[in-house]
Amino acid sequence: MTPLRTGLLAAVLASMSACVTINVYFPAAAAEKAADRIIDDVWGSADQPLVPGPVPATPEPTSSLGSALQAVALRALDVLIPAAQAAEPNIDISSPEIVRLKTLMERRFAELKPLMSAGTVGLTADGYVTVRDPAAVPLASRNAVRTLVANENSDRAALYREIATANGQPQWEAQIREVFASRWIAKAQAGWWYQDVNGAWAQK
Amino acid sequence: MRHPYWFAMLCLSFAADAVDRVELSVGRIEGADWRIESMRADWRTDGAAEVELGSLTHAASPVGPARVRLRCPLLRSAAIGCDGLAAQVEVADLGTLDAVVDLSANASGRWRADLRRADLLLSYNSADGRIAADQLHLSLQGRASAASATQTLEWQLRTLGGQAYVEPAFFDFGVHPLRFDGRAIRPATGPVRVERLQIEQTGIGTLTARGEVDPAQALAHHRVAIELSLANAAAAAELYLRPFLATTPLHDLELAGTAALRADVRDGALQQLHIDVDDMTVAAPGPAVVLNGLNGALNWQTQTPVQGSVLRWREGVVGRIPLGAAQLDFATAARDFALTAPARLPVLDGALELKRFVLSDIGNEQMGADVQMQLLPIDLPALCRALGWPEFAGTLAGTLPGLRLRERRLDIDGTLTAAAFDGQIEVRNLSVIEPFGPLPRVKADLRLRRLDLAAVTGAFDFGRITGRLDGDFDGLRLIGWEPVAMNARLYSSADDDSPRRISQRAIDSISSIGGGPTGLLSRGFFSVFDDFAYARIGWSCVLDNGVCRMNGIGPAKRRSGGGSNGYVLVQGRGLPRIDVVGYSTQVSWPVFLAQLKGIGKSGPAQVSSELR
Repeated sequence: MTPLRTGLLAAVLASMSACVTINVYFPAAAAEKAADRIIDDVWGSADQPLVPGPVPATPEPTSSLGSALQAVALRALDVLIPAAQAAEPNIDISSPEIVRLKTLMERRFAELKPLMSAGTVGLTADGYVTVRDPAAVPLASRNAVRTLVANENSDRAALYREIATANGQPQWEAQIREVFASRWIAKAQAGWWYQDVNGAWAQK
Repeated sequence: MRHPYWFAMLCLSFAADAVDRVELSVGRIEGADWRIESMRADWRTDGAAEVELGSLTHAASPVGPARVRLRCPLLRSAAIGCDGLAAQVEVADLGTLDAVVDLSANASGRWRADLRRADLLLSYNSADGRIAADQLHLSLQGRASAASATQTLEWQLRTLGGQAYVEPAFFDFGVHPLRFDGRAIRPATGPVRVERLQIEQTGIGTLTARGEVDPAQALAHHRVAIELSLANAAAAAELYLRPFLATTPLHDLELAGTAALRADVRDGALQQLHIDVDDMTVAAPGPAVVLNGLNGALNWQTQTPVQGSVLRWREGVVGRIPLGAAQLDFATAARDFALTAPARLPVLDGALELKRFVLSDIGNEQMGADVQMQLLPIDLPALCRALGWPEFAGTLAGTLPGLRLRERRLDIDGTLTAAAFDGQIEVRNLSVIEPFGPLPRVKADLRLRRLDLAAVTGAFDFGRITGRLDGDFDGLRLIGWEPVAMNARLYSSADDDSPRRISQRAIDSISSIGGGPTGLLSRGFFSVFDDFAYARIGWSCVLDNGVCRMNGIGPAKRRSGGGSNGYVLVQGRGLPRIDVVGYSTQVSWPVFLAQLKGIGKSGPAQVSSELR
C-alpha cells in the first residue's frame, strides 16, 4: 500500500502547491498603470514626455574611462527605469518581447487611427479591435482592413501573454486582458466606437 | 399559404356581348412568413397577359422587398407557353433583373425554358460585410428543359463589369472579366451529373470541372474532378493567393510563370492533387526567399504517400545568401512531407546537405520535424560579402543531426562550427521560439575558442590587439536578430603564449565604447609608444531588459584619491604599464551598441586609461 500512500501524498502536495499558485494576488491597480503606459506609447498621448533620444557621449577631457561610463549609464538608466516603476507591487512591462510588440502596434496605429476615427473599426469589450462597419470599406480595401485588424489582434494577444509571462504569472493572462480591455476604452479618443459587455456599440 | 388572409378586390370589366379583358387587383395576400402587396393581373383576348407584384416580401430573406413584372405578348393555350415573356424584377438592397424567356410545356410533363437574355445588375452587402457586390453587371443566357423526368440545364454567364468581394478575395471584373459556362443533367433518380463546368478569367487562367452532385446536399455530397490551368501565375497569386495568406509571414508572396493543377474533391474534402510547374519564380519577401526557374511536379493524396514528386530550381536566394541549382525528390500525403533521396543545396562554394527531411502534421499545432543535415564548409569571406559584413577569413561548417518542432518551438540539435580568425566559433542549443508567430525569437549558446585577436581587430576598424581570445555567450536570446538577453564573457585564452600587445588606438576604442574620454595616451610621454604589452583582457556582460551588468577580469585597486571601486578590462604588463579600468556596472545596452557602431567613424582617438 506504500506506493498508493506515496501517490496520495504527492497528489495532496501537488494540489496544495497548485492552490498557492492560484492564490497569488493580482495587482489590479499596478496592472492598470502598466496598461496605461503601454496604451500611451501605442496611441501616443499629449501629456506624455518626449521620448529621449540616444544619450550623447560627452567626454570630459580629464576624467577617467570609468566615471564617464558611469555618467552615461546613469543617465541611460534614468530613461530606462522611471520612478513609478520603483513602487510595489508592480507589473513589469520592460521585457524585450513587450517592447517589441509595443513598437509593432505603435507603427500599425498610423493605419488604424483613421479607421477608428471614422468608426469603421471599434474596440471590443474583451481587449481587441473589430470591424464595426464593414459596409463603409470599399470592396478593394476590405481585405486590407480585415488583415490590419487580425494582425493587431494577434499582437494584442501576444502582448497580454508576454506581460503575464514576464511577471512570472502566466495564469494572469486573462486578467491582464480584462484590465487592458477597460483601459483601451477609457483612453479612447472622442468619436471612437467601443462595445459594452453586451456587445452593443457606443461612441466616446 | 397555410393560413392565407385575403383582402382582395375584384375588378372585372365586361363588354356587353363577350369578355374582352380581365383585370384582377389584389390588395394583399399574406402567408405565414411571406406577403404580397398590390398584385395586378391583366389578360386580354388578343393573348397578351401581364402580372405585376408591387411588393413581395419574405421574412427569412436578407434583402428588401421585390417588385416583379411579367409580360407575355401572346399567351398560348394549346401547348401551354409564351414566347418572349419579359420579366423585370427589382429587389431592394440587391439589384435588378431584366430577362426575356420563351416558355413551353405540355400535359405529358415535357417543358422547356429558353432564356434568350438576362441582364443582372447587383449591388449587395451582407450584414457581416464578408460578401459584397458593387455595380456587378452580369449577362446570362441558358436553357432548361425536361423530358421523360430528366432535366437538363445549360448556361453561359458573362461579367460585363463591376466588383465583388468574397472574403478574402476581391474581384474587379472591369479588369479581369469572367465567363462561367456549364451543363448539368438531373435524371429521375440519382445524382445530378455536371457534364461540363468552365470558369475562364481573362489574363489569369481557366478552371474546368466535371462530376456528380447530390441535389439534396450539394455541399456535403459530391464528387468532382477539377483542372486548373494558370496562364499568368503572377496575377493569380495577387488576386487569389495573397488574400488568403494576408495574416501569415507569406503575405507578400509573388509568383511568376505558368502552372497546371488537377484535383479530385469528394464531399468537400480534397482527395488528390497534382501540380505541374514550369519555369516559375517564387518570391517571398517576408522570409526573404526567392527561387528562380522552378520546375517540377507535386503529387499529393489524403492517405498513402505518393512517390515521384520532384522540384528543381535554377537558382535562389535565402536572406542575402545565394543558393545554387538543386533538386528535391519527395513524397507527400495528408499533412506529411518526406524527402525520398538526399538533397544537396549549393550555398556559395559549400553546400547544405539534407540527409533526412521529414515533416509531419504541417500547419497543425503539433507539427513535427525529423531532420538531419550537414553544412559542408563555406568560405567565410564570400559569406561576409553576401551579408554585407566586414570581411574575415575562415570557413563555416556544421552537422545538425536533428531538429524538433514542438509546442511552437523549434529546437536544433547539434553544433554549428565556424573556423574563423584562426580559432573556433561554436553555436549550440539553437532554438527558435514561435517561428511562425508574431514574435519569433532565437535562443543559442555561443563558444569562441582561441580567436586570433590580430585577425579580429584587423577585420573591424578597432585598433590592433594581438593574442588569443576565448568567449562564452550563454543563454543568448535574439529578437529580430538583436541580442536582448545573454550572459557573455570574453577573456584571454588560458593556454596561449603568443605575444600580447595592445595599440593606443585599441585602448581608445575600448574607451570610446563606454563614451569615455580618449586621447590621453597620444599626448605627452606615452605618445612615444605605438603599443603596450598586456597580461590579460577580460570583459563580461549580463544583459537583461536592456541593461548590461558589466564586469572585467577582477576588481581594480582603489585609487589613491579614493572613489568607487572599478574593474579591470585590460591588465597591463611590463613598462610602461597601462591598465584600462571600467567603473560602470550598469550600462544601457542601446547606448553601448551605438558607441560600438561609432568606432572608426568618429574623429581622431582620444584617450582613457588608468595610469599607474
